[in-house]
Amino acid sequence: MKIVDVNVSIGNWPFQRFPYYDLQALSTALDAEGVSLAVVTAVEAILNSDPCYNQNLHKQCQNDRKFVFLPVVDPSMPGWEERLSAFLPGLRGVKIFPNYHTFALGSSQIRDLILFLKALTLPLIIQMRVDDERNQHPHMRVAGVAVEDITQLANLYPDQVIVCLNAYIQEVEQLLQNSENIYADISFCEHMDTLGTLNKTLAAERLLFGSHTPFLYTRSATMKLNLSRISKEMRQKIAWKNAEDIFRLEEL
Amino acid sequence: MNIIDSHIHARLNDNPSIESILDFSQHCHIDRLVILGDVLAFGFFPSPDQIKQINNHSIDLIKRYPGRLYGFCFLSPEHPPVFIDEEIKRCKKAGLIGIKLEASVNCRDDRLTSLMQTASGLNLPVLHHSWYKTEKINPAESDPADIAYLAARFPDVTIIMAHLTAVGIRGVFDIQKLKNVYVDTSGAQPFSGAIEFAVDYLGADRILYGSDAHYRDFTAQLGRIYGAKITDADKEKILYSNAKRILLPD
Repeated sequence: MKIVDVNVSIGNWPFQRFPYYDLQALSTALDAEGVSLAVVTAVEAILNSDPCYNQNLHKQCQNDRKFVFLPVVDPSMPGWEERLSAFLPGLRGVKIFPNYHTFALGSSQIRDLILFLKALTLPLIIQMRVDDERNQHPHMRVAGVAVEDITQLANLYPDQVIVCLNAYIQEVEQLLQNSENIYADISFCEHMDTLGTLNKTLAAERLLFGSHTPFLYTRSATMKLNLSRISKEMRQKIAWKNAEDIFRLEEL
Repeated sequence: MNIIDSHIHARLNDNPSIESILDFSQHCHIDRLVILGDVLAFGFFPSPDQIKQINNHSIDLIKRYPGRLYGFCFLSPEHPPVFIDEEIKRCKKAGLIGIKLEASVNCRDDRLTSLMQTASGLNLPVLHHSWYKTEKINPAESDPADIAYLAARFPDVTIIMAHLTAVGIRGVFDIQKLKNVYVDTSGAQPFSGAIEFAVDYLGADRILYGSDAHYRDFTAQLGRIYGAKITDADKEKILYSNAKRILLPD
């Protein structure tokens, strides 16, 4: 079965040693796990506002059909629109880290970013957290993005597709129940038969396969998908069909 | 490959039901599971009656599913030594195979002394919750340095320190020289590198697979073992033979 992973990163993170740091090694590792296509982000762009990290990854992805480049944008940083426009055409979405870049989802900068995305019919990806808040470095504590803030934003812009990454299972349930334009990946979701459990209350139409590689073991996400007790149709939607629609991957 | 899950919880309210846990574990090829009790059913500080209720539940489950389920006796060291001693002996007689401690009393506390002496006398392993938390909610919660202190006091007691990912690099180093301490792989999200690090510094012989189901998913928790860059022989030790040797000897 084809798998599109919407939550993959590459680069250095000061709090964790990764098994690979270059796109070729990441590609080989994802192949071994059965991931056909990965939406990838530069890790350094979380903590460092130098545009080079997006630019370098964009350049590398242009030569590699395994990866779909996803830039990280801080809409509170002057000039973001011009820098983002440099990735057109071919842009498939934009990722934001509201709590790392310390802007509010209700801010005017977000409004401008959403207008930019709406004009191009692109999804907004919100990464709610990077790691487990309980284990963060004591001087580097960053709370997860609040469900209420995302819901409010989603309801303010009901035509804007918003994809939430790294939400806990209770957060996924709340997010998807509260707004029809919110999607979520499965990377941080866990419960006995996670997808079978979620499928009892939520439509799988709005769940996406995301592994949070290389922070988490990719195999944990693929096993979660492959061993879940859901129909073949649901599994396909989560594995790749939903991602293909949202990121317009068939155009690639 | 045979698999023993050495760290699961079954709830008193049977939600999710034990049948669904067993069914899904079988689907994931897990042969045997060790239930540690519904340890947070009454909060951090259960009464003696509540402790008995939790242990009776575990005893009932292992009797209903012999050969599939094994169980630990849950205790709180804040209770009188007489009660603890009687409860350990009652649970052992009923078939429970170890002692589970959570977070009611820090494990440096002297109140663990008689409990550990009884564990030593009855040759029962002790599985202790452990976590290096950025901010402790419960000040009595033990961290790996506390576990190391306990292990040094009682070198003849086998101690399983829970939650590898949550104890991290520091936690592995805390127990590295204490050969009576093992670590289970449960805890938090399946962050990469944790298994490899523990194999490098503790050796695969000291690591046990544990899922922390029902809170967690067997699939994701097995994924961290199958996805780790370690040898197949080491995976077999972690998934099966260590738990077989330590918890379920013939």
